[in-house]
Amino acid sequence: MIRPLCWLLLLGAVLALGLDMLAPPAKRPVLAPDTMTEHQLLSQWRRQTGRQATEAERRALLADALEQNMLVEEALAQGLHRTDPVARHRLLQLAAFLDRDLDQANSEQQWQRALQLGLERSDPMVRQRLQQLLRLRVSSQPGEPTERELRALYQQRTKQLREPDRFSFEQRFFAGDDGYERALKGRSVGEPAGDPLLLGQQFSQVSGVQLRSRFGETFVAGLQQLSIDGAARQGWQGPVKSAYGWHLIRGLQRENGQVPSFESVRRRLQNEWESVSRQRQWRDYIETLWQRYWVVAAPDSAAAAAARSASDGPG
Amino acid sequence: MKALSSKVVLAVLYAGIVSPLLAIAATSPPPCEHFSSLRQPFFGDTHVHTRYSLDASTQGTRTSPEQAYRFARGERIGIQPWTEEGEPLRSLQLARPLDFAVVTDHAELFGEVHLCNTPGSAAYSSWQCKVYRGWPRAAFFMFNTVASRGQRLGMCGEDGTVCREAGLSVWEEMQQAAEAAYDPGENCQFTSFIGYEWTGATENVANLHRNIIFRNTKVPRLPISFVDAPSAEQLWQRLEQECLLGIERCDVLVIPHNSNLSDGQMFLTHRDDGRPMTAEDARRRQQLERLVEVMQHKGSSECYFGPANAEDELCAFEQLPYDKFSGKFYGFLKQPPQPDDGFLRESLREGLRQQQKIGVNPFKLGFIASTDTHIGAPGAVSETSFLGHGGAGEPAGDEVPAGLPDDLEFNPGGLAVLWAEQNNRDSLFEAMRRREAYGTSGPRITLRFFGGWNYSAGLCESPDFAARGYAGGVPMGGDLPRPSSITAAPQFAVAALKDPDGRDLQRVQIIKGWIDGDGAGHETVYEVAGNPNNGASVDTTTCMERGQGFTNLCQVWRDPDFSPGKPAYYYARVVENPSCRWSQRICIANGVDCKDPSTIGEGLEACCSDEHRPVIQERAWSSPIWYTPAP
Repeated sequence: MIRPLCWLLLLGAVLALGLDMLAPPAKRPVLAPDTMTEHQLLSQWRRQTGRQATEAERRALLADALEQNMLVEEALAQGLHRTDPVARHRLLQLAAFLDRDLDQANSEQQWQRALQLGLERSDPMVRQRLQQLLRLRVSSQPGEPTERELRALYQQRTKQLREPDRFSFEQRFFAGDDGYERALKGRSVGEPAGDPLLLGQQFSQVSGVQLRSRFGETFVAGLQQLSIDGAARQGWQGPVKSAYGWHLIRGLQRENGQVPSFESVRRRLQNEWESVSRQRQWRDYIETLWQRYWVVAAPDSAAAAAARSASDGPG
Repeated sequence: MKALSSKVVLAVLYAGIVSPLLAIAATSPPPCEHFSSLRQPFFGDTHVHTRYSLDASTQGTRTSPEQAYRFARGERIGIQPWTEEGEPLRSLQLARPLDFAVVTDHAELFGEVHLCNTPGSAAYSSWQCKVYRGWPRAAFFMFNTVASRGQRLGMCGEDGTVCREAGLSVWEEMQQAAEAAYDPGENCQFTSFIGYEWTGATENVANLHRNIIFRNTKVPRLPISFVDAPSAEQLWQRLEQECLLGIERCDVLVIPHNSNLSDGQMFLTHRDDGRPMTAEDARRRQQLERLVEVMQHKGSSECYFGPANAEDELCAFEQLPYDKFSGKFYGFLKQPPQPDDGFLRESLREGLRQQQKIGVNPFKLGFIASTDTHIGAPGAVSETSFLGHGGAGEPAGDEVPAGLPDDLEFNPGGLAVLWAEQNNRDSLFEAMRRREAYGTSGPRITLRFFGGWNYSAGLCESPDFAARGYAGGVPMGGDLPRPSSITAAPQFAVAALKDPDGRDLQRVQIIKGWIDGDGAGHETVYEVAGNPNNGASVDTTTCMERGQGFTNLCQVWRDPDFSPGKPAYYYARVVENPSCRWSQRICIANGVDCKDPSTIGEGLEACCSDEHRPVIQERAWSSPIWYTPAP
């Protein structure tokens, strides 16, 4: 009689153990944003955008706050607040500041007080630090792009990669209210002296962007109107207006900007690819993480339900 | 001690001989097609934070170093807040791209700690890391005891390589981003430098922050952070040992910033051990610290304005209302600025005193400005589209913003300008080293400043102003040569050109600081060009500007009060006509009328506070030129 009972018990134990091992790990709770947090988020939104958040935007803000809560919980579960010196230092500092009765030299006492006060979940700096640490751990190895991926990126970014047009010329400057007339007169004398200009008289291979920055938009527009034909550019052309006065131009040459070769920008493209890859790794990690958490409504929050519904997807 | 001394000698030799030779070798063949032997002004930003800085990410910044460089080159970036799909609700783009930029994220993120926190890493399962995770307090003592002996923990391997490797990922990404953005070919469109910020502070949270900028790709494998080097002195020593002497062709500069928040601790004249600074200490410091930020997002450090110095009203420009950052956050710690907080005019004078005392001036600092942006937006200095460098910003769209996008006392920051032959790393780095640099509060004012003894009165009418400026003396950042006669007084040639997209100039001043025989400090502000009473003004109810100024200003000026026996420095300050500050523009856009409380909307209360300064005069500051009497 005893033997079958033992077998039965043993079988039951094995089954229970097996089921336990096969079952997914228990989900951890994550608290939905409370009413005060929601109020702060909406108030900040108004400051930043100049208008009230729409219902969809409100839900998105709450979902984002909920996601941050989840990341903080995960970081705490991994003990990052204990091991990271920056987070730890901040918590000790806060505890010492908030509770003047604490022994200022006793960091263990300060640490316990910080945890009692829940500072590891409430202090914005610590929260951000913990999320940042998680992110660094998750997306520090972005992998290597394939040749095909890099070439596709090259095609996508042709417009941004194109070099600007470049100009070479010599200029003479004429300042003051009579600058235009003096420039006209100077053009006819062959070698006009002009007035001094801090930017110099000779310009070689300067991009339109740089010229715009140095002389102003009207000057570059004026240059575009001048001839770059051999005979015309040997003599003085203009006057061309700038932010400073009038300019005579000689020897104008313009080189149209080219798209650099794939090889010359390979490294830049690889960097861009890695940046996108890191971002994707991080989002994938968050998706996975949601399978380990369930949302608990904040006690005072009617909005918790909305937050929960906004987070239903990943949760 | 002997070994250290020989290293110091080597360092001095390096700075005095090897480094200039390297520079000559590097700049002699002009690789850029746009090259000028008389040098050109290049505009940039040497102080940029991205998502890797803790205090940037806390404000929602998602911009990576690579994106920050793309922004500097003219591309648009997204700015917080972000939608659920990760789309930014605001964006920003420079009207004019920069010529150079340096991403300088806080370095205090890297190190052995990263290794112990990374599952699967080489040392994650080591007993030291287990202690670290399980008993951080014990680990703290263990790590520090070992480190204080100049050793590394056993888990780091015999030569510490394992730990060094572990902290590389972020640092490597920063380097890669700088490399990818650099355009060293013939085009020379844009230059980036590898850099970071050493985020030092005193026990009372006074600011000691410094940006570390490397000349090229030869950089230490990990940045030397405040954790690694918890004092400026240790930072210089480590940089000297691990970069200048430790890596072939490694070269580095250290740029202090926000001395206005340093409680006088940024420019101390004693060592960590309390003993007075020696000539060797001063040389090391001067070798590395060639420039200082005269102005940035968190205020101007040029000069103190207050009861103890109210003569120069322009010193009130962007002066913060507290002397340390702790005063911002805790009212009971708030103190108004003090004359000895670390403002640069006084610090430069202290340098003159030290020169007399120990024979070397440790505070021979040229000026630049930058943004200190924490949204990854280098060069975003416009007063009219300021989104806040701290991140709590307003949209740049058509909607009327509902509040101020940044704390009232902060500003959009400034730009660094370098006079260099061409836009590449060697040329720009050498410009920084010889201090041929200046700062602006945002506008792209062009400014040249030469000092000598025999400039002709007609220099300003000469088309070769720069060539004659160099030939007859030294440019900004230099030391006046010996006078040709003992009765001579120095001359200064200053020329300024307005920002082509900005407002007219109002005036040019030369500021002289000097000490007398007993070390007492003095200063005089000379009006040398333009007209301070030109009648230009701004209507603060509309921001409409009235009156004309000057497109360009030039003057050759001789010091009328020169005394050959008294050391002095001189720098130029160029001032624009008055204009509305960023905050006033937003207050007006929101219809705030301080006489009618009903018009003061949410977030706009500061518009009508006593601290609000609605009008500013944008400006540029040249690096000083020093006069040292013959011994």
